[in-house]
Amino acid sequence: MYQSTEELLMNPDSLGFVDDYDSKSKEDNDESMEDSSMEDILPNGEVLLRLTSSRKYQPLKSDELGKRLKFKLSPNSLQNFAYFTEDKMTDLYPFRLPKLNDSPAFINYVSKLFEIYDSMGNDRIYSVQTIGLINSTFEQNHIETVNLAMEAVVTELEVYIDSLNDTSKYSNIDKVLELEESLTILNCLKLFHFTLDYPTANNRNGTDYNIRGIFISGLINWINRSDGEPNSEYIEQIFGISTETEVFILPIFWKLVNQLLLRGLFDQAIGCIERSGFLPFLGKTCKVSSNAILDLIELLKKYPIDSDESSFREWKSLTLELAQMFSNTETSVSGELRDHIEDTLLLISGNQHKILYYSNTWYESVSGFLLYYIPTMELIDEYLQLSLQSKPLDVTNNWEQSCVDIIKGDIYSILPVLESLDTCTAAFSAAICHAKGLLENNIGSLQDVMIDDEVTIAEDLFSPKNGMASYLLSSFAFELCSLGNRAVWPVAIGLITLTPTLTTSCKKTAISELMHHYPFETNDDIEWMLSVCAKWKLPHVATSLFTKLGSSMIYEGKTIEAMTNFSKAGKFDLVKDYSWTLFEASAINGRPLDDEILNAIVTNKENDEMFLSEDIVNNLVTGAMRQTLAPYAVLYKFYQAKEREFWEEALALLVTLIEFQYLPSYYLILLMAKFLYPIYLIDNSKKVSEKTVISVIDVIEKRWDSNDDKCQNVYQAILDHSHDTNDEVLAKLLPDNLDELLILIRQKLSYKLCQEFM
Amino acid sequence: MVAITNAHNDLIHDAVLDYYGKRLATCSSDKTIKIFEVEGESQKLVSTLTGHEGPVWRVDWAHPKFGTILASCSYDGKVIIWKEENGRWSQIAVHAVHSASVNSIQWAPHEYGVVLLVGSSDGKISVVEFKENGVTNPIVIDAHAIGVNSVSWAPAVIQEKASASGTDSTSNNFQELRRFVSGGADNLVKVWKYSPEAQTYVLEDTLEGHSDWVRDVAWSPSVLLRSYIASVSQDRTCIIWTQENNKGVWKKTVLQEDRFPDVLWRASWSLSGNILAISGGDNKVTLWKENLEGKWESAGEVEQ
Repeated sequence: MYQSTEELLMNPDSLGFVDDYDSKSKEDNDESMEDSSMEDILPNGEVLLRLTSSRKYQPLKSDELGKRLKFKLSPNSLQNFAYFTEDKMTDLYPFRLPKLNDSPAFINYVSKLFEIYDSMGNDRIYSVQTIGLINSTFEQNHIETVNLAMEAVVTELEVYIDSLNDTSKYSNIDKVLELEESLTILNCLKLFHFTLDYPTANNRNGTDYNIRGIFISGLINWINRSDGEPNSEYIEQIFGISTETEVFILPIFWKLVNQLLLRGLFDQAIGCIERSGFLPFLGKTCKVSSNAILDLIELLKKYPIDSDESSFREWKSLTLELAQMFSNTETSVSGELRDHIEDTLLLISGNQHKILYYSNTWYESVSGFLLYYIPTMELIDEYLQLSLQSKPLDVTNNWEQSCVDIIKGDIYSILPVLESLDTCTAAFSAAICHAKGLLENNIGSLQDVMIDDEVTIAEDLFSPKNGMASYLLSSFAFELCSLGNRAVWPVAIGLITLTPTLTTSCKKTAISELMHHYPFETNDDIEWMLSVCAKWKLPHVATSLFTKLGSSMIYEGKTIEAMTNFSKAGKFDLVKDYSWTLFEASAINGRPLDDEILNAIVTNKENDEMFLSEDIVNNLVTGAMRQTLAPYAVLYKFYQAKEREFWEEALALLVTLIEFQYLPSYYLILLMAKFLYPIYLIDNSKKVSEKTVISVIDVIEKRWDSNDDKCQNVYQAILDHSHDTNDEVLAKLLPDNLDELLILIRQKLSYKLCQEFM
Repeated sequence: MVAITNAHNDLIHDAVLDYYGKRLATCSSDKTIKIFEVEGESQKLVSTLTGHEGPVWRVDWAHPKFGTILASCSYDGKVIIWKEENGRWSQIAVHAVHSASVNSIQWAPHEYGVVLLVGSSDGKISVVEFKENGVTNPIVIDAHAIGVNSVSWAPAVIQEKASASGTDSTSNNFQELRRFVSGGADNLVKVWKYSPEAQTYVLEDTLEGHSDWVRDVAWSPSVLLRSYIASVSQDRTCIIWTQENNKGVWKKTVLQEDRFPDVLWRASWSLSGNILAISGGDNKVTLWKENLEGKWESAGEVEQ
């Protein structure tokens, strides 16, 4: 994590880990290594992605320079495209960012951790009561809640790792290893900071915690899950070393037994002694030693894991007596074998030298001290110092330094390590550490640094002043939103909402920005999004959502739904435009649109076939829509009257439309050419009143414009439609241009006027 | 997802996914723009847009609240705005104020409306707003003497007016801080800011650090108080420029002490602004992340 850039990046060419066309010898092997992950983990921990899943068919040779590889990160981190700006290289290569996970197991893990964090309630915030009525149980309850939360996080991590192991995919191995390291760090964290302060009485759950039992079990679990040593193959190797010599003669056997004891693996240590045939051997050769081993086994079986400290003191005094007694007694076994028995007895009686001598690692020593010397945290610094002097920590793995830091109480330094292993685990662990008050101190020092910007910095989501926990939670929330997976969005928004140190305005800004990117699909998604907008008072986000919804509805051909959304977004111009578009489409066709929702709206009738209740229609139709759809409603009634041959009623409706003061001039052309002229003016049998004729003439005088482009386009559309639909009657009636049509209309109106006069 | 093969008949210059990752727009020296629908693991070519008279350098999707709108720019000096309605693509506007190749375009943050930023080889940058009833007069500024290679908007920021007193913090005292960055063939990176008084964009800062053409600039999209600009250059370096609280000096951080093996072509940020990706002539895309200590470290690399 703290390496410099040079250390992090290595020269890929020199190490030759990239395959190319020339590497014939490697090709054969590579074919069997093709996998869908397209990711390789380099020796330095870096992730290398390939552009194609086939190692064999990469677009370029590995040592080729000067090619223009280009790409741009997309809003969805799982979907990106790379390409070459090169001759004859016209392929596009999709790839996803490394270390991003949207598997169901991961989503489940994230959701579970969020549930844990959410359920902590007010205990998410660390506070020390200093004024007012101080509740004596407040602190105890807080500690209990936070400790249980950390325990639950560790349990969920174990479940998550198990689920990945179950799937047993090759691509999961690296992730499992990283999570195992995270688990070791969390086990250690839980052991030293979330165990020993469990309240012993008056706790919220009424549980009487056996703190020593929890601690010792946790210690044994931490040590043994960390490295899985000694592994079963190693044990089998020892038992299979020699067929001529008994295994208990070998120093390596006693090293193994002592290692098992240092790790608290009592049953396994007893099992090794029993399997070795040592007891039958001693039964024949040395009664004293035999009794000592039998006593050792009995003591190990009774190791007081769950008992109180006084039980441990009694147990320890028995081990000391046994070791003392054996040292002072003559035995038939001598030499190395007697030394081995004595060393083991001294080790379990807490002999410092033997614990250090038989430990392979510093953490085995620490475990030995806590199991057999004095199980107290007061001496933990000393234990750690002695252990590290004897067995330095291994810096090649991630977790050992972190565990040392945890034992020293330096929680800050483990967070970058946890973050590099798994951002989800890191974020929630940091949040719980923050709730415990383990991350408080450094904020004070940061406040000093940031004093000049105190007011403004507090508004920043990622400000150092908010603390590392807040930073990690916010970063993780943003990371979740980049996954393009709707399922994790509520968690992401929830995380920002719950982050304790952020100001409301800061949260609001972040949520507002993020919600614009929400990849909604279903009505439930929209409902959820609107509820977030309502909760955070984000009307502009809701407006943007309705506009996007409207646009997508238009794309799907759902004009009415689109207009509803445009109305809700306040885009009244769009509502008006689409209303006129519907009007135009209907008029050109000369019949109502084949849209039952639209027709149900304009007739105010419930549509039984479509189960369109009045409520649904009212829900769909906004005030703006009722107004803008009014011309289409009149046109629809005109069609109905025409259908029933109520010509006078139909004419009245048509003239209402023609006289409508907001009717665009090009639609005047449409109504005249499509309906008034061919239905009423041409047909001498249909009467048109003088008043109507004069009214129509008046409108023509004011608004008819043969030279207007839109008017000409509409007229051309009518002509085209009549040809397309083989409407020969209309095609014959209508002249080629608007000027001629106007002359014909004027002639016919004059005739109608005369007819009325006559 | 599988690779899209033979996407164009000539060099590919840009490939951009839309807001939801559902559509991919690509452009090429074959003078066309292609639209692919991306659904799960598959992609399907749905439209080929023709209209430019030269190689098409870049494409950019407008915010979806404005509908399905795409902008493209070309060697022919034009920017064409395309709109899709009912499955049909049509040109809705042509922006032709530049006298040479238009190299870079980017739609503004949606809060500003349908506003496009354009950079050209004629050394000028134009900012043009498309309104429902037509285009407003574009703002044209002289930016980089030898030519503009790349432009990038800053995220939308509301800032307190300089004259506003601390006691009277009404909403009238806040204003939009509209800024963008440009990179040019003069090896410079320039930061521009809208001046309501002058009603144009004025030069706020000139950032010197590159010794050859600046090939791409990218302003981090996140809404943090610290601004991040990444610039990549023909000189084989990437510089991260940072500024605190939208004011003061820009701090320069060279991403990697040693120069990269070859020219760097592109820089881009992830949605949340926490990951920077750069690609270059060494056939690698390297991903970078700022760690908790403020240092930039590799977050992985993509290699051919």
